[in-house]
Amino acid sequence: MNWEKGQQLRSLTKPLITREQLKAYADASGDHNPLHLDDDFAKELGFPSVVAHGMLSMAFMAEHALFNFPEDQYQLLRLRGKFRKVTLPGDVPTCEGSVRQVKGNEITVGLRIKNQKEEVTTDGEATFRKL
Amino acid sequence: MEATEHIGEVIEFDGYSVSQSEVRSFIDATGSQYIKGIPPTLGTVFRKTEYDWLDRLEVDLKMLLHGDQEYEYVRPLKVGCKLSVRTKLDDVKERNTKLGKMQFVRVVTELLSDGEVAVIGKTTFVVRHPAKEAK
Repeated sequence: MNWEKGQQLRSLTKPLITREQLKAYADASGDHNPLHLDDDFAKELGFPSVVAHGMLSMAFMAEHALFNFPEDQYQLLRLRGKFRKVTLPGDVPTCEGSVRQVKGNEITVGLRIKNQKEEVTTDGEATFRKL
Repeated sequence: MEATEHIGEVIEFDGYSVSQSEVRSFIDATGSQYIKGIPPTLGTVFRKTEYDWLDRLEVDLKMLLHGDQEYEYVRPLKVGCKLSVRTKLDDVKERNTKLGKMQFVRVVTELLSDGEVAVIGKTTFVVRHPAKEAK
């Protein structure tokens, strides 16, 4: 695959976020902050309900990146994500991105996750080296 | 001691390893059907020293948000490898916002696999202090 600046990545839509997934992710990641698990606690802090871990969104971003740049063909060098808006149970995240730069065999892509309301919840960047 | 006086200090922990069941749980919980090896964000599991920093800075974990995260991949992690982590406090800043005082705590964590740096993680935590004003 020859990547070009501006080229769109294949998008990836993740399943609807559920409280069960937040519980499973809390167990898998070790982050049991009640903000992600206890609705009353989250509401006391001003959120409409529990919110997803920012790092869960970043996991989606990483998967989307590897979906476009498979591990047997590309080596991931860097990944970064900035958490802009909360993700709530009931949200449907869609991962999108485009090529920002191609420098020799290194490709840098801009990445973002939008929810079903087209709001950007997370954005970031990844750099790959073609193997 | 002021938080900024700790900048540059490092907390270390030597006692993690990467297990197959941990990787499996992480892949299942994130629904990562397109990831075949070690998930790139698995480093988030190994944050003990980052939480130790938040304890040392007396951060109220209830007021903690994750601002941003960056990973640089130096060497691959493998199932069965022994991990040690060292986290340096990189910066602490305060700002007044319309939501009150916000504290930005930036840490840099090196994840070493069998003694060699494998992943470098840079994390910005955002701590909300709605009742307080920044100095």
